[in-house]
Amino acid sequence: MKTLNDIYQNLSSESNKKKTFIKFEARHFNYQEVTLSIRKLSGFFRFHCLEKGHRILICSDREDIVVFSVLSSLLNGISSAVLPTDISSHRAQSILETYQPDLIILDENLTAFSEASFPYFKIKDKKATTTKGSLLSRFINRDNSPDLSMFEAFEAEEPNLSAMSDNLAFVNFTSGTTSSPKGVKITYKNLFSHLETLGKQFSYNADSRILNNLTLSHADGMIQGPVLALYYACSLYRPCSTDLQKLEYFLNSIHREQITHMITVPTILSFMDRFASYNDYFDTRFFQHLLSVAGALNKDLWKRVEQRFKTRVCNVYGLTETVAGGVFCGPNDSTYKTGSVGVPVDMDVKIVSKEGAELPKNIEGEILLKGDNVFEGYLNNVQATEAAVKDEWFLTGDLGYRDEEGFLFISGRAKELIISGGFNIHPAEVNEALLKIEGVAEAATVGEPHPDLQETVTSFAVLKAGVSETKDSLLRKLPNFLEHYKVPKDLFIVDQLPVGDSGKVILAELKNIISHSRNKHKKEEILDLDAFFSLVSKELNVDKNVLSLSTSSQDLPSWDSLAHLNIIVSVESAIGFKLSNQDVVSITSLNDLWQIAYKGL
Amino acid sequence: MSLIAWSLPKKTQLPAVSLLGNLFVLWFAPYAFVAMSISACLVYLISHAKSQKGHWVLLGVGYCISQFLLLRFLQEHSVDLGLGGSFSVLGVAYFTCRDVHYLVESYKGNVRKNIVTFWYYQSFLPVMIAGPINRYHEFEREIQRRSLDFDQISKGIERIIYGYAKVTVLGNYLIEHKIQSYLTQLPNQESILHSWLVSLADWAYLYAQFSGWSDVAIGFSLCIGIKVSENFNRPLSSKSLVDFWKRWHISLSSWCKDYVFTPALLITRNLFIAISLSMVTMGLWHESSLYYIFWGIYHAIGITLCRLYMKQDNEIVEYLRQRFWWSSFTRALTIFYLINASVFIGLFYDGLY
Repeated sequence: MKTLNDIYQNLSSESNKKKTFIKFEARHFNYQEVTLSIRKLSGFFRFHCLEKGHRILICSDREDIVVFSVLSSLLNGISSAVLPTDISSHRAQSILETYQPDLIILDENLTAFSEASFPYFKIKDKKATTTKGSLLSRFINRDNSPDLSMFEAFEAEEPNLSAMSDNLAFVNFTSGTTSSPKGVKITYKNLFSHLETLGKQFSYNADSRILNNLTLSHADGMIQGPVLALYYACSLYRPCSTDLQKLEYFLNSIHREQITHMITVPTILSFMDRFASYNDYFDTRFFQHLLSVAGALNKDLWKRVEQRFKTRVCNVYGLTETVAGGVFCGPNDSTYKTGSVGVPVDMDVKIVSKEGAELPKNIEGEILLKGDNVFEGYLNNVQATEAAVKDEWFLTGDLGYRDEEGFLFISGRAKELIISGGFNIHPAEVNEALLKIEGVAEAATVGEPHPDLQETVTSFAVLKAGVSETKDSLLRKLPNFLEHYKVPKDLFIVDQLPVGDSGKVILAELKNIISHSRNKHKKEEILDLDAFFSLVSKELNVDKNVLSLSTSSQDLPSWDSLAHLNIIVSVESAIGFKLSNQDVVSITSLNDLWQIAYKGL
Repeated sequence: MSLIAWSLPKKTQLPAVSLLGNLFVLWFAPYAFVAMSISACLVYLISHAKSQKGHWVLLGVGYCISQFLLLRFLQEHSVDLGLGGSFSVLGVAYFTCRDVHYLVESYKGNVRKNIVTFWYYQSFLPVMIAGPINRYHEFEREIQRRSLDFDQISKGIERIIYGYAKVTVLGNYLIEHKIQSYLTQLPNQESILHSWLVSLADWAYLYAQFSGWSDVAIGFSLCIGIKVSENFNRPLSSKSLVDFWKRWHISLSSWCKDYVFTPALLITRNLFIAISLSMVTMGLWHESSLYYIFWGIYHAIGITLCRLYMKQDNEIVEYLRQRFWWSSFTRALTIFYLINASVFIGLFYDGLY
């Protein structure tokens, strides 16, 4: 296992070669620039009296700042936590209370932290890169210098590389109720042992070129991205977002950037399967492994992707509590079986009954994991830690079994969790947000199966007597309490929730209500312009009145790639036929969609 | 050119390659450069105009074809425009096809507006002079996939040498200088056997020239980091005439299929008329003459007969298809029909005059 000193030495030696460390869409940073940035940030930390054992919290849309801050804090022994910028102020406050950061680095326009009483450093709004001007200036404009001018005043200093293996490296906050946010404590030992396993399994080395544009506030985005690249002194490519309109450009980058490893989520594989125009994206002499992370990969999709793109899809199973993974399906034949999540590597796995007794092969039970990469516990949450870790075994909350050959299969979930587009969403968190809205008496949330996103969030609300809230008004209010991706895609207002003898909500009955409603909806829906706007407003979580045919994906922040797909799926089901791939990727405004749907009708 | 493509900063590489393409044409064929520039501007403006697109696209296609015919006429009749310099229509047959392709595809909504990529496409020197007729969306994709790969450059250089050897050693020296010269010295010049041998040598020469220059173009493109589709796929191994035209000058055949055959079939609902129109177009693309109109009709008859045969599923045909010698027979028949083209058309053509 490497030490911080080894990592920093590698960084310094690579910096002489001007090799690319990280490449964003508009600019790239070589090792020399990254080393300088890390030193500058070391000086910045010293200026703010941050030392080994301190904590920083980062919340910014500036990916370069996020990456360099995390890497520099990692080398300096300062633990970091990265949060998404669309975090609600309620969740932000509860995380702050749990995490108690010594410094918050955040975008100056963020309002979620406005009531924070912790020291902070605000990142100035970056001036938009000019794209206008003469044709020639667009060609020759090379702005690749690190834009860390805000740290200019600080002296570049060598990082303090004295952190020990049991020191805290990261805290990753998983979905949970605001009353008890779960901050997963990852030590240097957890992190480095996991990175070693990844290297062994997928042959990472200094020549690797990783394509991973998963969000940096997600463990798979940060750990299997910049941190992995730093550990193996290789290169990371983070291109444009994987919006459907840019899918081809994104996939073409595999050839252009001579990618060796692509790390993605099942939702993107589903996008590729449905909307990619070609089959030869991985047909380069450089490409080695395609990894699917953060969520169960549907067996049919798995086979289709492998057959179509002529490349093996390796599945990585793990949770934030195991840094990012621990059970691997592929790349070697001995660890590969489609449909399974593979075999544990550098980890022990056992299947146990509800009573805790170990179960034999082919019998379903809860999956327990043990290894150096298993987390230390939840930050300031002894109760949750005790419930999740027993005798060094981590209770994953996933149900599964092992076959005769030792391959692990996931068959369900013992805990309530919705996985949508690779993101974990705790139903209790959504319910809690609903109950914060005045007028909501009871709430329940379930996951609804979805072909591309795996699951979508659907909630039920019981209103207090005399309250005149509607589904749309509730959905509009929810983003005040929830991150965008956690807001339900659909909401039912019901008179009462179905409860069992124990008083618990019967989720199966809620799913039946959804199923009946979907069938009815399909039969009754006739698409006219008004119905079209209603459909779209529901998917975008916006008021119908703000929509017009000229509304484009640029106008609404909620119109991201997932919402784009949801709109199309809804319109398809309303008009009763599927749009062509060419149509789907060419749609950039509501007018485009309306014209195509109307012409089809 | 490869050196320019890779030695400059990345953002200036393709502009430099395109500029070089423009300067090359401007220097060697200024008239073609002017024509190419006018039609490119027109095509781009029409393709991305906001209103009356259908009419404008038709007008644009009409303009491109008229310009092509005019330039061909001026060249074939050595008309002196009085502007000095030599008159050359370098690449006009190729850029006309590219322009029509771009117009129709933009009308179908398959082309995204990007003037820079369009300029790269129009000015891509490796395919400007001798094809292949590359497609815009494939070219756009290759731009997005382009990267410095010495393995590809090495393959590109190999391909250039291979292609150039095909043109010079096989085509110019062996076939033209040795075989065709030898055939002119043979007795019984009027015999049918002699005509067949001459025709076979002509096809072989055409193959060496067209596929050789295509290899050079593909090789040059690879050196710049752009992959261009193959233009020939072992045409002599064709099992039928239909198969042959899928393997011979693929970029032109597929262009005719997409922009002549398919629309003609949709309008007329008549297979023979649609095939005839595409084959005549293909003939006139090579040379604007009555001979090539007959050439087109001759091949249209062959392809139509072949298609009729392929549709047959009676017992005799099924029996024959299962015989091992049948595919050798159809291969031989395909070549026999091809080498008889010049013999029959020549007889018919001579009979007219």
